[in-house]
Amino acid sequence: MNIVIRIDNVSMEYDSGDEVVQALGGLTLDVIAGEILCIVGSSGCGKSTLLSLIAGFQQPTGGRILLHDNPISGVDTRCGMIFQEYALFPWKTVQRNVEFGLKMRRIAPEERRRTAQHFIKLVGLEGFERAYPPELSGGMRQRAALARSLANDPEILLMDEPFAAVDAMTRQLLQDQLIDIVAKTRKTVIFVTHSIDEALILSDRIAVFSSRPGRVKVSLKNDLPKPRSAAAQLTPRYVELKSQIWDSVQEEVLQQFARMERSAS
Amino acid sequence: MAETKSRSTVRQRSGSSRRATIRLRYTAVSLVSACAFIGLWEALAAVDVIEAEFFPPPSHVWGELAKLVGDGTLLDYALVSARRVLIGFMFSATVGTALGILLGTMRPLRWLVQPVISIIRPLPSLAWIPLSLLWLGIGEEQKYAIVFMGTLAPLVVFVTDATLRVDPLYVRAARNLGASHLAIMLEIILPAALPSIISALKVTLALAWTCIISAEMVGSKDGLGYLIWNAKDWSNVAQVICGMLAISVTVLTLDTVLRSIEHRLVPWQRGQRLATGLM
Repeated sequence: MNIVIRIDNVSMEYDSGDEVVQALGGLTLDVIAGEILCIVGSSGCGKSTLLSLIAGFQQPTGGRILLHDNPISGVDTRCGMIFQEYALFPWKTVQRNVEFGLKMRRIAPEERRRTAQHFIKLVGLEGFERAYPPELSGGMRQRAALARSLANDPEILLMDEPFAAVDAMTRQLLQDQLIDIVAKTRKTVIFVTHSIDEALILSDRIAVFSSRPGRVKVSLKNDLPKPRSAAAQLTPRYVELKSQIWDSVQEEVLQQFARMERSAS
Repeated sequence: MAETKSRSTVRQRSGSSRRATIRLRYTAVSLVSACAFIGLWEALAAVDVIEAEFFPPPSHVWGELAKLVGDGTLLDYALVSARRVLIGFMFSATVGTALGILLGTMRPLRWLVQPVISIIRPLPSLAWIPLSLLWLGIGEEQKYAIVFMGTLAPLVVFVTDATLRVDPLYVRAARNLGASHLAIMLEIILPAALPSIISALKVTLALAWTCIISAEMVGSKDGLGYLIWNAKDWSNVAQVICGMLAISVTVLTLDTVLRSIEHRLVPWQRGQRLATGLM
């Protein structure tokens, strides 16, 4: 097993103004090359904080994160981020958005254009190269964002609830497309979601986070056969895995409620 | 996808024809209103309700206007004033935009420069006229300088604000794709803040006109400000009114030109504009 990212006893605290919030506490997790690792947890469990640490936007207050045995010390283009809010540049066309990373690496315009074209085609956005992001639907925007990230050829895709803002039908199409693209491009994916179903459809492995401070509560291998069509969601194994994950998530949610009530009274 | 696209074009077309009808009605009402105003003015002067000596009737103003246009004075002066505004404003727009973006992106620099800006900013732009006269006399440089001094501080404040309001998400995304600090400034901050920067430029351009008209009243031998000040000295009220009309028309013309440039500079807003236009 080839470990790409090693998260070693990481904790993260930040000052929210009137109190110090501990987002992560003693988190240990390995990410294996080529896998889709889904991180599931209730809101506020530090899932997004972890991605932001791996992307190098922030530094952990304790422990360390290693990328190929070297600590991550800043933003690294090997870890491409896909944001829930797409973060496409609205003043650039789809084509220019996808070319952005290549332009930053000073790739010649002709090659830039060709590479961008390849990934725009891969995500199925041909014909929309000259559209501006505000003219696209949510699903199309997220596909453009995916193409933009892929064109920069990252080793790892960090996806922060990327399909949370699109409707259920579109989400299912995007999930299928993501599985397909990851298989073709052989990326390692860390996918944060609060949907157990999404995690079961996409992942090779699922890490359930505890509520704040976030730690890995349960880590389990997703052995459901691929491809996981809608029918797969009706198999006994699917139901079994889902209830197993739900049990541990539920425990955390209930604990969080209890804590909120205590602090309220 | 194809279906939604074509449907939106259809809606766009019917929307634009509806908008054309509204515009036509608007123009008709405006014309009627303007004619009524001028007619009333002429009538009141004819029955001596307003004294022609202090407030000449439209026919009188028209005669003066024909004279000023005929001998080329009006166009000359309008061009002289517009040129002064544009040259001075070009300096202040360049320096002000660059400085504003730098202040917005570099906190230490902001702390360093902010005290100076906050002392200069409350000054009405006209307060610079004495200093500029002492430093530069009454030549063209003084005219450019008065525009520069009068508009720089407010422009810097507007642009700094616009820069600070850029969504940090864009900056994160750009850094994640390998953008350097300079690239972030030029490729992210500048275009993201551009719509607000353009509004800031429009507001400060109006200030620039105030500066130049006043500066021409105080120390100049040409320009629209000089025209109305000089006419006042000769008690030529009709000429004062002509000059004021000319200022208004010149400013409007310049605004129209700039608005068409703006549309070309921010093409990505066409989707949003369409969306809000349909609501």
